[in-house]
Amino acid sequence: MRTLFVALSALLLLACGAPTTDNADQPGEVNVYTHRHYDADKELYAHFTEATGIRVNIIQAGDDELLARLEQEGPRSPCDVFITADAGRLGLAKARGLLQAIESPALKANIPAHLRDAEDHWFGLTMRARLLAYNKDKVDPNSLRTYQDLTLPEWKGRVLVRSAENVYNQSLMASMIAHDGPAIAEAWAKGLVANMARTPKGGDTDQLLAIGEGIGDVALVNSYYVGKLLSSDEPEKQKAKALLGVCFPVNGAHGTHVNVSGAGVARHAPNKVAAVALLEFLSGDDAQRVFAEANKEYPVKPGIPPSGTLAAWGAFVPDTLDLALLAKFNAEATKRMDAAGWR
Amino acid sequence: MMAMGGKHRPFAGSWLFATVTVASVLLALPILVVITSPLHSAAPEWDHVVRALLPEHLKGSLLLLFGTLLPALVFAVPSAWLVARTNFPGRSFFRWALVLPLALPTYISAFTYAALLGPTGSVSTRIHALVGVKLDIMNMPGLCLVMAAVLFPYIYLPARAAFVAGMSGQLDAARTLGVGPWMRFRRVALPLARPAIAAGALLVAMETLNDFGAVKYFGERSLTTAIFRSWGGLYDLGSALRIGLVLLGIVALLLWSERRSRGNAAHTTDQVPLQRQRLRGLRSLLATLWCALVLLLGAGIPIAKILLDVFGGSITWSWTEVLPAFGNTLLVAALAAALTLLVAVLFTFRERYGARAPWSLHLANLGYAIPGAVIAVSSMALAGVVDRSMVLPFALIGSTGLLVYALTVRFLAVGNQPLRAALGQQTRALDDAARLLGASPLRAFVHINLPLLRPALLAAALLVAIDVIKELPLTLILRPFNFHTLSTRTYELASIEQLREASLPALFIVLCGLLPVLLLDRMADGRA
Amino acid sequence: MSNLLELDQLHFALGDRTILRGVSLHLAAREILVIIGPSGCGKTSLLRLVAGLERPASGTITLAGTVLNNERTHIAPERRSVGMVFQGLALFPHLTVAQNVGFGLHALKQDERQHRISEELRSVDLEGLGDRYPHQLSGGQQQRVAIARSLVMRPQVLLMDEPFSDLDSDTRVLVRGEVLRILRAHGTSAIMVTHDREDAVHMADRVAEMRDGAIMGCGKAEDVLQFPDPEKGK
Repeated sequence: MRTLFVALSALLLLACGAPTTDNADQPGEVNVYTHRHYDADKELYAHFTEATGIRVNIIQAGDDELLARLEQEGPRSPCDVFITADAGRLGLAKARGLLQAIESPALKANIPAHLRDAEDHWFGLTMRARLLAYNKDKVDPNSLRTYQDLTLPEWKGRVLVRSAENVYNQSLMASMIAHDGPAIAEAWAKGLVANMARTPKGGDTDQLLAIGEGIGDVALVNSYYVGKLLSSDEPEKQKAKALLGVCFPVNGAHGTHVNVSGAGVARHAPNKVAAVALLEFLSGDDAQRVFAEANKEYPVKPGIPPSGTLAAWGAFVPDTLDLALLAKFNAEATKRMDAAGWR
Repeated sequence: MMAMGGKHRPFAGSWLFATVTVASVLLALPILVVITSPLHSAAPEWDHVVRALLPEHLKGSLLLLFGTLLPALVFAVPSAWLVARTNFPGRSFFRWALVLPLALPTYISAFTYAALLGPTGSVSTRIHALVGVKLDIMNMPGLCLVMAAVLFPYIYLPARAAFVAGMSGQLDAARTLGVGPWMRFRRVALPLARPAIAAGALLVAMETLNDFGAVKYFGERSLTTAIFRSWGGLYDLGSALRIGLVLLGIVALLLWSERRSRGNAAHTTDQVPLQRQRLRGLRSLLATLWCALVLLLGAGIPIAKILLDVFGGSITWSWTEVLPAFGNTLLVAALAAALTLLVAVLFTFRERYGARAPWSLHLANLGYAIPGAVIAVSSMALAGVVDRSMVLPFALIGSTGLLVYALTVRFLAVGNQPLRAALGQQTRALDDAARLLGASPLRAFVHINLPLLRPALLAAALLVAIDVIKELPLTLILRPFNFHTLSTRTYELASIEQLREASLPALFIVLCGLLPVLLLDRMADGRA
Repeated sequence: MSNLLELDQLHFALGDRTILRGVSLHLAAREILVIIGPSGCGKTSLLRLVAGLERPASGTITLAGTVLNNERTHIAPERRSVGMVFQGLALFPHLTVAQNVGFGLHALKQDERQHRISEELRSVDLEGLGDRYPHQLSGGQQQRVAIARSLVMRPQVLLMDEPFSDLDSDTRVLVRGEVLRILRAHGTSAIMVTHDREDAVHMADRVAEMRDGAIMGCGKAEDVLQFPDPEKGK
C-alpha cells in the first residue's frame, strides 16, 4: 500500500514538473491562444509552418478563460498571439494591458483602419455580418431594411434569434448603444423580444432550421452560419436551405453591424518576431482566401472576394463604428438586454 | 445503543493527520477563492445581477435540480430493485447495461436529443408531417428528462449494491410476516437503502447544478448560465464568483441534509445467500419493458443517433488526431483518478480516526458543485501568484500538474462519496478491536478498513475516471499547448455547430467511458 | 490485597447525556467480575473507558499500579494491555482465523508468531481451522477466535461485552462453559458485561449490578442478584 502511494506521488510530481511548453523562447516557435476552433485555422497554421519553418503551438479555449489565463501568467506567459472572434474581447485584452502595440506596415496595408485598433494593439482578420435570413415564400426583403424594422407589429411571433448570452447579439446591442444611446437600444430590444417566435434556444444554425420548419419567418444570425448551412449537403438541412433568403439590414443611418475575428501580440510575447510574422501571414492574400472559402467569413483585405455563396447575397455596407466601442458598451448591452427580458 | 460521535473518540494525532490537513487546505484553496470573492474581487455589476439575473436563474436552478432528481430516482430505484432482487428475461443484460448512460456527457446527450426531438429535429418534423403534432423537447421539462436519463446511474449503482447486500435477513423476516413484495420493497428495502440512494442523488444534484452546455443549448436559465452571463457579458468576474457562492450555498444545504438522512446506521453483511424472486407473466414482461425503456432513454437513443451520424454520412477523421486525443484522455483520467483516490483515502482515514475534521476537509468536497471553468479560474489565480513570484523553475499554469490538481479539486467528492458511504457501513467495533490488539490508527486503517473498502475504492476511481473523460471546460483552459482530449475535440466541433462531425469524437468518449463503466458494474455489488 | 484494576469515581457523558455518575469498582488478579444491568445502563461505556476507547469526564483508572486515566493522562488503547471481546465479536472478515489471531503480533518474528498462534488456537480447541475465514465457522467457534485473538496478546485484563448475545440458548450454555474453562486455564482477569442473570451466576466470582450509570450493588452473585443494595457498592 505504502509503495503504491509513493509511486503515485512520484508520478504526479513528474507530471507537475514535466516541461510542457518546452523551448518557449527558442526561435522557430510561436504560441497561440485562440478562441477559434475552425479546421481552416489549423490548415493555415500548417501553411505558415511550411512557409516559414516556425512551429505553431495552440491552446484553444473560451475567450474569457484565455484572458484570465493570460492575466494570471503575467510576465511568465508563454503566449505570443491572442486570437478571438469578438472585437469586444480584443478591446478588453488591450484595456487590461495584455497586448502590445505592433509596428507593421504590412498589417496596416492589408487591414482597413476601422477593422484594427487605433493604437495597433489588435488587428481584425475576418469579418462577420449580423444579417437576416428569411423565408423566401413569406417575406419580402424590402420590408426588412433596418434592424429596427424587426420591432414592427407585422413581425409579431415571427422573429427567431438565439440567447442574449451570445456574443454577437451582445456586440450588436453594444453598437446600437454606441450609436443611439442605451434608452433607444433597450426599447429596440424590448420590441424584438415582443416579436420573438419563441424563447431563444439553440445556436444560430437552429434558428435557420426553424425557418425551414415554419416556426418563424426571419432569423437574426451570423453570416458565417448561413454560409455554412447553404453549402451543407446534410439531408436534414436541405429543407431550410431551399427556403432561405438573405438580406443585410442597416442600423438606421449606419451600415450593417459587423464584428471581427482578430488577433493581437501578447504583452510578454517571448517570440515577438514570429508572432508578427504570423499576423502578417494571416492578413495576407493566401490566408484571407482560405478564411473566405473554407470558413465562409468575409475577408478583411480589400480586393479579396468573399466565397461564392456569400457573394451571391450581394454587397453590403458595413457599419464603420469604431470597434473599440463594442468592448466599452458590452456590459451595458448585456444589462439592457436583461432589462428587456431577452433570455 | 451508543452513539459514537467522532469527537468523543480519543484524538490520535500524527504526522499523517498533519499531512491530511495540509492536503485538504491545498485542495480547498480554489473553493476558498470563490467563497472569499466578495472580499477580494470587485463586482461592479452585482446590483444588476441581483435584480435582473438572480431571481430567474435561481428559480431555474431549483426547477432543474428537483425536476431532474425526481425522474432520475424513478429511473434508478425501481430498475435497481428489479435487477437486484428479481429474475426476469434480460435481467443479466440490464444489470450492466443500465450503467451505460454514465459514459455519455450530458451536453452530447442534449445535442442528440435536440437533433431528434427539438423543434427542428428529424423525428419531430416527421411526426409533424404525419400527425400534425409539433414536438419540442428543448424546454425545462425536456431538459430535466434528458439530464435524468443520463445521470440516473449515479443512483442506480449504489441503490443496486444496497439492495443486493445487507438486507436479506430483514427481507426474509418481512416475508415470514406475510408482507407482499411491494410492501417489502417500500417498507423494508427502501428505508434500508436510503443512505445509498441519498448519496447517489447528491451526485446527480451536483452534476445538474453545474451543468452548462446542455442548459445553455436548451435556452434554459440556471445559476451556472448566470455565472457565464456575468463573466462574458457583463465583464464582471467578481459577480460571477458571487453567483458561484450562491451555488455553493445550495450544495452545502444538500450535503448537510444528506448527512442527516444517513444517520449512524451500520450495516451487517449477509450470512444468507441472495434469493431472487422469479417474476412471471405480465410482471416479468413489465420488468423487461421498464428496464428497456430506461436504457433506451439513457443510452440507446443518443448512442444510436451518434452511430447514425458517424456511419451514415461522410466524415473525415484522421487517426493521427484521434489517437493522441485518446491517449491524452486516458492519461489525464488515470492521473486524476489516482490523485483523487489517494486524497479521498487520506480524508476518509482522517475522518474515521481523527477528532473533529478540519473545515478544509468539508470545503474541499464542494468542488463538484462548482462549474469547471470557475474552478479553473480560481486555480489559475492561485497558481498565478506562485508563477509570478518566480519561486519555481517551471510555470504551474499550463502544466499537466495544475490540470490534474484542478481536476482533483473538482471531482474529489465523486471519489470521496462512495468511500465514505462504504466506510460508514463498517462497524466501529472493527477499528476498536484492531486498536486494542495494539494497532496504531494507521495500521488499523491500512490492514482492516482499507482492504474491506476495496470494491468502493475501485468504484470511486472509475467514477472519477469517467467524469474526467467527460469533463470539458476545465481541461479546455488548463491544458498545455497542443494538448487535445476527446472532449476538447468534441467541443471544438460542437461549438461551431458542426454537430455531425462532433459525433465521431463523441463516439470515442462513449467507447472510452465504456471500459470503466463495465468494470464499475462488476465492482458495484461489493464482492471483494 | 492489592487490586489489579481500580476504577475511582468515573464520570462520563455523551453530548448532554450523562452515562456514568461516579462509578468505582475494583478487580483482583485472576478474578472474573460480571457487570449486570439493563440496556442503556452504561455498562458498555464502562468497558470502553477501561479499554481507552473513550475518555472519562473525570475519575481515575489504574491498572497494576499504572494510571491509565486521570485528569491529565490518557493512555491510548493500543498501549494499555487491555483486551476486549466485542458484542458481535468484530472478527476481521477478510482475514483468516490465524491472521485474526496473529493480527496483534505483527511485531514478532514470523516463526515466533506462528508458534504463538498455533499455541493459542490449540488452547481454544481450534487447531486445524487456522486457514478458514470467520464466516466459515460456527457461532461458538467464532466466539473462541475472538477470545483467542485477545488472549494471545496476554492482556492484563480481558473485557467482554455481551459475548454470548448472538448465540442460541443451547449453544450459549456450551460456549459459556468453554469460555470459563479457557479463562481459568489462562488465569485471566476479566470483566464481563451482560444483561443475562444466568451468565452472571455461571461465570462470576463477583457480580456488580448497574443501573442508570451507577453501581447498585457488588458482591457474590447470590447476594447481589437477590438483594440489590445501593450502599454495598462503595
